[in-house]
Amino acid sequence: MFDAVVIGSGMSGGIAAKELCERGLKVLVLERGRHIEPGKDYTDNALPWEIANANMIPETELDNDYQIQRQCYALNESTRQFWVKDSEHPYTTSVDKPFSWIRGYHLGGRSITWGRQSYRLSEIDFEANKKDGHGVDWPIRYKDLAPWYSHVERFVGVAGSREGLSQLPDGEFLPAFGLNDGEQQFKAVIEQTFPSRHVIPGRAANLSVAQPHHEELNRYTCQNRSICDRGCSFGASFSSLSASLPAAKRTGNLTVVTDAIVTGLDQDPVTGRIIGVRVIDSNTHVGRIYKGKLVFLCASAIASAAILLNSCSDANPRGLCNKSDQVGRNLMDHLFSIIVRGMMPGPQDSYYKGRRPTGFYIPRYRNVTDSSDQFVRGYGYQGALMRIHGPASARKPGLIGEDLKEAVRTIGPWFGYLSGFGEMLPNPNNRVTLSKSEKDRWGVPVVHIDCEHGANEKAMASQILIDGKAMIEAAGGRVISEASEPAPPGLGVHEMGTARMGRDPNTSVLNAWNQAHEAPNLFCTDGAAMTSSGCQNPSLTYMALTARAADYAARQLAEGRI
Amino acid sequence: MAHDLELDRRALLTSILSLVGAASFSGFSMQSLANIGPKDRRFFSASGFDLLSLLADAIIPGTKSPGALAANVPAKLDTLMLSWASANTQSMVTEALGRVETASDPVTGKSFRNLASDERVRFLSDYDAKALMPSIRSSELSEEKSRASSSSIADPGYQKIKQLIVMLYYVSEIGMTQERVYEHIPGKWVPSLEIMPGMRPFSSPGLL
Repeated sequence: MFDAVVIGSGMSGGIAAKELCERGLKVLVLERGRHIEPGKDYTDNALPWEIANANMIPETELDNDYQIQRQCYALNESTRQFWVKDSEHPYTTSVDKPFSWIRGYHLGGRSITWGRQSYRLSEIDFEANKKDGHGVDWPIRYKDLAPWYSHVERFVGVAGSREGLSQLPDGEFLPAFGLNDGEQQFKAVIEQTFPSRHVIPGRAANLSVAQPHHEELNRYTCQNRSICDRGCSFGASFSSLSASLPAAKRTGNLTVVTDAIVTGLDQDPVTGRIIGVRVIDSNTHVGRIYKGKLVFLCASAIASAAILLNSCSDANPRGLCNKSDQVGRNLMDHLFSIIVRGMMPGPQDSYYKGRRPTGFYIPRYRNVTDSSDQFVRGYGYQGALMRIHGPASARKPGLIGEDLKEAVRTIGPWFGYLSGFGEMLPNPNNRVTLSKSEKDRWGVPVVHIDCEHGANEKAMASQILIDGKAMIEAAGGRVISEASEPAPPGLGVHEMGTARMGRDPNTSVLNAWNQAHEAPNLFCTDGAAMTSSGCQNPSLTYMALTARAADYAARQLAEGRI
Repeated sequence: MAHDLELDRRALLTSILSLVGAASFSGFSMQSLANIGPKDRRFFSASGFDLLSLLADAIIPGTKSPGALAANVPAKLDTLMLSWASANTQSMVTEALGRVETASDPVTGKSFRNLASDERVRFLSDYDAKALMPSIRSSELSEEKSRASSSSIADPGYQKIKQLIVMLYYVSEIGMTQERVYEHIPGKWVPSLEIMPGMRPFSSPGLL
């Protein structure tokens, strides 16, 4: 019997393990994927010309094994070990409703390959559902989470600038990765032309300047290589492997079991407590049951919902903790891949050195300062300006020989892009269910996803494009291309909402402490818990919710209340 | 399986730094594969490999800096055809290569391989311009859509083979470190750097 069983070792599971171990609990982390050894599995030591196939995955393998994962920008030969093969991990979607479920099954999960953008939700976000009537009210407000944002930011190490914006609260920042001169010029024009819009350095979970408490965990200052998703041997890029699991390990309280697929949870029908975590060994297919006084469900939004749905019983025919019928519903992802690109003015005598791990960010302004009568909520932009050079300069028809080489070695004009990230509303019809007929190789029902953008998202997507073009042009740029349609849901890799927090057990799955209404020792702290999505990249919020819930659960356990 | 976490990053870091300092690497690599010469080619015929070499040399010649042949681009492409390319890409490349060979005859009276070096460059410049001409006006198609659609380029096969030659050259050690400047571990981010005469751009793992 462990004090706590944590299901999942990614962004949320890692923080759960750390926080619980540091409070003296004996913690078991279950990871469905394989173990990762940085010395063997990280590829950040390989020089570009040493990587097989020029860093391209063979085309036939892409076609056969990575039909979905190949849509993700970060999949290549040097990162392929961090992505599932779709051929081995099938799921289904409804006709004409594609959903791109981007995943990695291994120790550390997607915390190795995430984009590291780290933004707080604001009071505006926590009040949104209540104000406009979509979804249910969050059971917490910004002030409840603010100290836990600070707690997590100090541990993680988030580089950023203090801006004093109500819609994007400041945090405990390391020095920002500064804007280059082209971006400074862009910022000046945008902020003069559109006074409610701000161009700020992206807030990234990379150690711009490692602090002593980071170095205690063998984490060092970022070397600006921008190959974070290969695994960062400097530990500068935050991941479960670089930070939270080592922090848990040094307490002496951590046990990790990999290759352990959680198939369901067993509940005591009298007390409601979770009394067993059912597991199948992915290699031997042998079943086991682990027991813990607490269970933290951190398998990611879709997988956590699937575990609850697969934990059905005579008492819970719809699945565990699902009397509200909200488990699996309200699946959200951010509107993603609405991009405007342009050739930009900029100082011709200025360049930069290094490959910083972020760009700039334009925080939300729609329905904050600039109202819209077409949609509720809002969006932000990630973007960057850079000098064009390299093979991209060799595409001109007729360009060969010395002229081609000269074009490539010339530090070319400024190029810029704006990529919108928009809020998706909670919609109970966007949901995860389990197939009644299809099972995976371990005999577990495969996930079925039924999700699409609604009228609000479509109206918002149009405005993202309009505003993006307007900003490029206002800054003196020339739009050269656009991606006007949002990617299918899922490709933002920000799945949320499938076991939402709420005030009423009849309409939500978790309470204000991420504790299941129907199982007092079960806490779910991954994206499933999100009552709304905001438009900010959500991992920092998952981690803050996790740390807060772990503190609460440990205190409740110590006081004999769980 | 249960096990201890093996997260000794300090040792790993030491290993990386020594690797970078030594500029050496063991195991499977494009560089080692590139060392196979024409005798070791596996995909292209001897005649095809010679033609490919002439094409690569015309696209990226040795000038004041080494070119595609010095960077072993033909051998790398031969390897790539077997280790990476699908059957469709293999066909596109071989057929495009054949078209280059024969297209010069009506224009110059000689096959591509029989052209003198300067004739070859003149012919290929015109051929490249026509082959890469968008078949749909760019105003009718966004850049992304045109890239995604092979029918938007007059000769998608030639586009593919040129892309591969250019990519393999600029991802080679010569292309990354001699044509441009590559630092695997740049260190500090410098957001503002004055451009000085003769300054070369930095290359990056992302091929930008």
